Amino acid sequence: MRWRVIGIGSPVTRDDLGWAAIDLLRMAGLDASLELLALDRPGPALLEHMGRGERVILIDAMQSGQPPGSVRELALDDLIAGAGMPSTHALGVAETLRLAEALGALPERLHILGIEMGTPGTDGGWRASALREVLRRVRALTECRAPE
Amino acid sequence: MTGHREIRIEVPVLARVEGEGALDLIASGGRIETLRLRIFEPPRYFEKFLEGRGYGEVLDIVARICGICPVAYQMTAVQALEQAFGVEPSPWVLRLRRLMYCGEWLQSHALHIHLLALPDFLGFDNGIAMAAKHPDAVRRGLRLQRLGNDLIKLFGGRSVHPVGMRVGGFHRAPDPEQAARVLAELRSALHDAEALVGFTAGLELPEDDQDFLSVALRHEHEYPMFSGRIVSDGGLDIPIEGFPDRFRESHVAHSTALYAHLDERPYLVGPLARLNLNHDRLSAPARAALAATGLRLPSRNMFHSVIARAVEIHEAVLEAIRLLEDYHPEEPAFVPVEPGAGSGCGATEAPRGMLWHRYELDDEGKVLSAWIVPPTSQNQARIEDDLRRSLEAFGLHHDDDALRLRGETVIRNYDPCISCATHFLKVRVQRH
Repeated sequence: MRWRVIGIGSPVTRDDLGWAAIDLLRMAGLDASLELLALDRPGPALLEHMGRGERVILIDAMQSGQPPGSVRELALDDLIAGAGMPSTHALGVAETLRLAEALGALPERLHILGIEMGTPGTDGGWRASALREVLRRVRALTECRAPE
Repeated sequence: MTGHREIRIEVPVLARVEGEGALDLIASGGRIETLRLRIFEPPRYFEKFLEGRGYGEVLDIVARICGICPVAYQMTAVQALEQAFGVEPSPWVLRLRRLMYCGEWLQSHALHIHLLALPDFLGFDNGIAMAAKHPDAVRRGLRLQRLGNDLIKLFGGRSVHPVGMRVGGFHRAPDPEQAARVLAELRSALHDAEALVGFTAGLELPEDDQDFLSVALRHEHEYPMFSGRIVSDGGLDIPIEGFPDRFRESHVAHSTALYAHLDERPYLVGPLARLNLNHDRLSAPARAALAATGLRLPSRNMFHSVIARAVEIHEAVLEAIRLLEDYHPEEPAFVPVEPGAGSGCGATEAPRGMLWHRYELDDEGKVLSAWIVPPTSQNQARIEDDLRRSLEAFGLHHDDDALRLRGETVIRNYDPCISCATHFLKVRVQRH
């Protein structure tokens, strides 16, 4: 079964790192061996793209206080431990993953890559290097042999 | 039993509603003395943002008022702008707008019933906790919500803040192959939608009949969505242009959302008001499914709103199937528009109730003034009225946790979108 790599965010706001990562993976030719998908703030609709028994990598922007451009693999348990369900608008990635867990609908393998966001207009090259790091990690996680 | 102690309850976040608000309750001698639904979300100033903007920008701006019901804002604004410019959209456009609106009712109601309201009636803190025990119900809700989103995407490119609509019609006709796929999904979902009506009617809902005024649009033969006259069960029957003559908005100190009254009375808009006033306009299969529940209409029990939403989901699926079976693309998908000075108003039935807009435009079609009356602000006075009656009927002898839960349940039952009206509820109960 092919890995599915899902970039999450918005193509028209600064929360576009998930989308930019998918663009780079595509430009690197990974779409030949991986299923690449960019979703615009899907909320619970994310569940439709993650079936049981599947292998999924999620890429999303994060704000964790680290330097802009830091790339970190997030532990599912840590992510969903802080999830609440305060409102309909706040049904984000963490809440949706918690819902998937409650429904027994989590993928067989799931990796979550977070890219630390930076302040607009202060890109000192962190963005490009962060996206290259995501490319390297996706290749390593999926053992994808697509051309460099 | 009420004592002379003063009790203060604070709920940091009113869960499962949209927006930030608080409830203050002061009770004395077993009676409620003061009850305020305080909405303190900062004013959002959308009407002022619109001033000076070209008519072509209005639909993209008003969609940002709400992430759950952007279509309602676009539909109402486009109607007002077309009235101002004397534009008559083609019957093909009107059918497709109704189809797109079905998508919004479907996704909004499915989300509310399954993830926001059901936990109250099945005894869970939230939809995630409920999902472990009732996974099939949650999955059904998610399927129906996705289907609604797919319908919106057909026209708008995306389900949140869609971009497909324009004054005069749509930017392009939906792709027939994509439309056929959505039609097939709707047919598959019809059983879920019909079963949901019986499911909600089988819930153990509180019995609490109240006297309230229902207000909704009413169309000659359609279940109201985006056209009709404004009617009430108190005898009101006016064209949408007459709204300012009978409805009055006012400020109160404890809310950043305006209150609205009809002839000085609070009133209800939303699914139960629509169903009370328009159940004879449902399609035959939806009427049959409703009749099978034994629900007597008009209903005076606000908790029947969850059944009304299920009925409207069923109707929306039936209607969307009917409209899509007849679908054929037309190009261009719009009629030309010549902007000019004037004014126009629009009224449609958003998932949460009647939404009313009025715009004045200059000779270039730039907005001189905008007036937007969302459903939640119209319901605000009714919610306070309901809370007072519901909590007294429930009994103030209950402990603070029970009172708080009942208060929150009453509020959630309206599916309020506080963000639209101007987010979290702090409940403070003082007993003397």
